[in-house]
Amino acid sequence: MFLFACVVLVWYAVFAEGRSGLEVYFLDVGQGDAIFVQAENGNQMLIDAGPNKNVLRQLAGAMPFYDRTIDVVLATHPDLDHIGGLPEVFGRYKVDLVIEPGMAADSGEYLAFDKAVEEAGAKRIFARRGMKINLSDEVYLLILFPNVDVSSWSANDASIIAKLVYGNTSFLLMGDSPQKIEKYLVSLDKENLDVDVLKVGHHGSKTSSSEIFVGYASPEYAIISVGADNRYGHPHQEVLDILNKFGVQILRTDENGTVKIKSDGQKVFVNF
Amino acid sequence: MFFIIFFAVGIFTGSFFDLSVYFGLLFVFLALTLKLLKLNFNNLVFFVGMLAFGLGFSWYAYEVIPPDLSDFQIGRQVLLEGVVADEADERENYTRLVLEVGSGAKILIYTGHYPKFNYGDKLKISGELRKPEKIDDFDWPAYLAKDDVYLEMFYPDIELISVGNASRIKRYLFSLKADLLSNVSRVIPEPHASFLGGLTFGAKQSMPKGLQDDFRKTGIIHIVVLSGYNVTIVADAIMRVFSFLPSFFGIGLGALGIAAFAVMAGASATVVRASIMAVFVLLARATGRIYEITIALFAAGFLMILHNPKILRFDSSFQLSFLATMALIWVAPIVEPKLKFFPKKFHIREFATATISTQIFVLPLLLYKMGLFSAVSVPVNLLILIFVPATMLFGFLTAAAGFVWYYLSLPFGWITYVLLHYELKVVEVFASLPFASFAIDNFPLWVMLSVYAGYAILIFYGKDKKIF
Repeated sequence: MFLFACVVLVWYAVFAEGRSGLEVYFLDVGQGDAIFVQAENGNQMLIDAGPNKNVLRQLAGAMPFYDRTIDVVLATHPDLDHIGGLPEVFGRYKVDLVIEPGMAADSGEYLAFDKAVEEAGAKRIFARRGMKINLSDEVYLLILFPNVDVSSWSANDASIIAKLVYGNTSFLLMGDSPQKIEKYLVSLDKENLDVDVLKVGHHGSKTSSSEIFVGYASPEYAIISVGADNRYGHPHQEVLDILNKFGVQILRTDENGTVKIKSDGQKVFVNF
Repeated sequence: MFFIIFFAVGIFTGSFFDLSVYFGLLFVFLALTLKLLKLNFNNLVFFVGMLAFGLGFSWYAYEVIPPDLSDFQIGRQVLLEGVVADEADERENYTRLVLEVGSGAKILIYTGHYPKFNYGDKLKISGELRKPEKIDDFDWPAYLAKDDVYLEMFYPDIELISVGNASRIKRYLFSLKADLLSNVSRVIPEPHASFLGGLTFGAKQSMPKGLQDDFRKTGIIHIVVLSGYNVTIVADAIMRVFSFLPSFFGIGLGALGIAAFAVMAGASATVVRASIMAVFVLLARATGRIYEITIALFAAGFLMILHNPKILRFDSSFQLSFLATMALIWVAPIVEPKLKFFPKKFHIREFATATISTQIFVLPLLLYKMGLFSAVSVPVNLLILIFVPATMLFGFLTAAAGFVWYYLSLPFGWITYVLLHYELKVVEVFASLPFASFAIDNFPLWVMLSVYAGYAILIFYGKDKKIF
């Protein structure tokens, strides 16, 4: 009986560890953002964690049950719908590195996050443009924004923007960045913005996703991380219209649940 | 016995009418007058019934007189100081705190998850006081009043003044429970960990809403809502598993299991009440003296409703555990011989007996309360309850081993995970069946009461007339 259990466990592990390529999960955490990234070598990164502990259940669905570590946690900016689930994540998973924009907030959830990071003893760094986080030999995260000290900025303006690259495929993760930051990025290096998958800014609010920006990004898929019937009316029709105009296929966490995208380095594949 | 029943009827009736103490006393007075004038045809039953009804009615009316709220400026911005009087109740998007402010009145506070506050924290809050209001048909104010909560405040500014202002023992129990839960959540992922928390430690922090709905649909929600119903069933299971031992040890282990659960669940009034009733099941089984035990059970119930008459109508946990206890004492012996087709191995037949008899007995109450009839309730309960004692045991071992060494808790955690995974799968599969549940919108009170009256007649008169 015991031996049988061991065999089952080993086969489960073999199956769970048998992965290929980069996997990106846009987790269904209601109104908020949470993106789980697993590189082809098994290294993991969590970008935001939604408003509450629902992220834990979603993470459990994306990871094998015995895996209790996440290598990198990135908090795009200190708003509840992005960091509300993080204190619970630190309570349950061992995290080595924390990346944040470098702005504090005096909200209860930010203080709890701050305390959780300190207690976990994780290394903390401020994201700055040009930084490259190597998840594996071939998968890296390139920070596009902020490029300056944002400690006194408003939270959404300070939001980290990053590009996840694996071979010829790339994902642009916008946090809650508004249009003015999008336009600033376009003015800096529009060539670098062309991606396969765009996580649109601010849950599809019309304050983000300007036409010019979406045009330069020209993604194949756009992800809108949003809660059903949220009180903000996200995503706004204007944004959907712009995306449709460019022929982008829209994937929404409120309609599709967790959106899982795989990349083999050449092409991206969507499966729900 | 008769007195108790009519006392309860009095309380129950009283809970529907907003009448003064004197209305109840009128019945007492009438009863006494009739007795004195010997106009009651010397019918003792009539006299006692009327007297008890009147007393119960008065007692309820007396107990629900709300404290003087005139000191509180309802609808205004106020600044108050108080002590957190219970565990924080973490919901999906907010946390609820019960704050006791001086004069015995309690305020229900809605706030964010962070910062976290604990039992015994002294807080200074500023916000707008409101009176709770009825939500559709649900009498939310009366429900809150059972715990002496008469006011609400939404998202006040909160300032922590000091910690540790309440019972040291309770504080210790709550923090023990929090530590046990955190040990569990370090090895077991979600939603399994939350499920185990509700099952084994009576944890209030809720499972995701969708999953809760599935539990409701399959008629198994009772095992996670701190109903005390699971205490009864688990105690019963422990007893049966150890039935090969001399009955003294069986009862001892059963009682120990119940006490352990009560302590882990924070020994709240709800859990203590349920645990006391669970002990009666053990006694009934061990001694076989079901009449005496029934009387003792009623006496215990009487003391409980005397202590807080509001629970009779508004505390589902009290109702469920009382009914489940009655079912195990009375219905189980009737049902058991009819379940011969269940194998005796692994105590399957015994679990089937316990499940089916309690299900029969609590069904009308559940229909009245939730308006949802689960067609798959019996198989789901059977498939799950058989593994509940083992799950609780390994869950507890996981949590306890976590205090010693993280890696020691891993193997226990994985065994628990497998059990939990199986149980959640059962819920998921059955909940996805198209005919899993039917909404029954119209199941009025009188139907429920008549069904129970029918049960009582069937059991007592159908079997034996000695009870009265």
